[in-house]
Amino acid sequence: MKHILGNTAIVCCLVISVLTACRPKPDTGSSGKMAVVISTLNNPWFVVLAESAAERARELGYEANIFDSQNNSAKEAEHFDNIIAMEYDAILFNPTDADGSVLNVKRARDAGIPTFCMDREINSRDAAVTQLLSDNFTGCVKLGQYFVRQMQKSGNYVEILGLVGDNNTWNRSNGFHSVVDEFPGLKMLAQQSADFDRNKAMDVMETIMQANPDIDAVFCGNDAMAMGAYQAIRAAGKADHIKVFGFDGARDAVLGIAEGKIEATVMQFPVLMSRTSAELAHEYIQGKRDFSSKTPVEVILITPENVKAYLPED
Amino acid sequence: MKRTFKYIFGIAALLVLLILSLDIRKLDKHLAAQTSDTFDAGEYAARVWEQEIPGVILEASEIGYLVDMLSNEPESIFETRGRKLGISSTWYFMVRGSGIIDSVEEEYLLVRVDGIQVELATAFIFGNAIRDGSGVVDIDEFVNMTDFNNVSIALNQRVKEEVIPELLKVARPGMNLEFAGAVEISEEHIKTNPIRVIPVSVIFADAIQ
Repeated sequence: MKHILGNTAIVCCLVISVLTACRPKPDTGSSGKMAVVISTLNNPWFVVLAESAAERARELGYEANIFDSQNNSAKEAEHFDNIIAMEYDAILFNPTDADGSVLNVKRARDAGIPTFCMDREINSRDAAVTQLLSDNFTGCVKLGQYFVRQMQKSGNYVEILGLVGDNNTWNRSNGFHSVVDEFPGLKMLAQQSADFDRNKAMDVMETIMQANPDIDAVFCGNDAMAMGAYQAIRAAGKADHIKVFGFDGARDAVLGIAEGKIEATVMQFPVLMSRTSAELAHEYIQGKRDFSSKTPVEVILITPENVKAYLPED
Repeated sequence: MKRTFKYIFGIAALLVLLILSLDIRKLDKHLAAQTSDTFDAGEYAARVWEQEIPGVILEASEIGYLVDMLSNEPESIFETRGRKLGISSTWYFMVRGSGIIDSVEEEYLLVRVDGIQVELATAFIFGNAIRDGSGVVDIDEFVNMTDFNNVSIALNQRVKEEVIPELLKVARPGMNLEFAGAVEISEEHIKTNPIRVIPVSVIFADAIQ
């Protein structure tokens, strides 16, 4: 009996060993830690960015933890302190401020922890290993040209900006103005920030409309603000007259284009950016050192002409 | 009464402290401060335009060859003659050719080059076709994307100031010209007939003779 039990135990062990060996393994069997530091998780777009980065890091065999900076640079600095103390292997980073965040990245670098920026830029060539950024400028050059044609080169418009400390805000605005400012028939009546926030944009648009009754269009630095502006415009009964242009390719904006509420947006690819960042961090940990300081990621202009191809599946 | 004064004084002091602790700047001044202090995109573009672009034109593909390759072996021409930036499906090429002006349209000259219709742009000169197509502007040289993008704006400005006015002044249907310029092609929607070219150099046949 003892003999049978012994044999059974050996067979079981063998079966378990074989089954364990057959289980899908992480790509390399790495066992380090990656930190995903995100400017804010109060915006679904950044939630996607954070979760996709963490998911890819886990697929590559790392423990991955997400840190929310809540758009607060002090909070972000605290996260970096903790990450350095906990000796993470890499940081996948979406900064709160192009200038203010440089110091945090340099502190991590000096502690031997490489940082990979995602979507938002820091003003430094050498602090981060590389920066994967949406090509905001080019996207808004395309949007600007579409805007000019939709407006038939004349009319009054307003611009609602994102966070003024974020380079993306200005790359979008500069791209748009590099086109639109060449057409003297297009007059900007107001330019105000709403911090990429839907509710703030609604308030800003309401105030602007009270002071300027003859607006023909609004260009918003992201889709959340475009949807907020649209709400204000609809409440004022001007939805048929004022054209709304956004940026991001957010689900409700894409649906809004299909329904005729929004004129156009520019689609970014947060999943591609964040997954690629995790892969680059993995390559760095494996020994690769030859990285371009910045890698722009192409964005796509979405209009009623091509929206069908970009509608959400559900 | 005394207590009320104390409260008013206290609140006023707090307000003064709060105002002093804020850094309030006008939006347009913040906008002006966005580029790095030391970088002059106009100067950088002038150097590229004057010292690099002439060499780039000499190396440019013949437009007939590019169109033929885009129609028959796009992958090969993307890899051998195309340039793109980062993760993208948009390729840029520098081209040259000579042909005859078919018509002068509002935004371009329609030029016939051995059966190929070329739209030589005279308006809507935007984007990165020259900067990225030329291959002489390296993104790693720049502190931020704003500076890098300002190079595109400055290069396009050179076209608008130095190429387009002369082109519009002289161009008439039936005239022969030689041109060089930048082309943007999407990998997913390859469009070659007509093909749009942003000109960086145009010489009319009369001036050549």
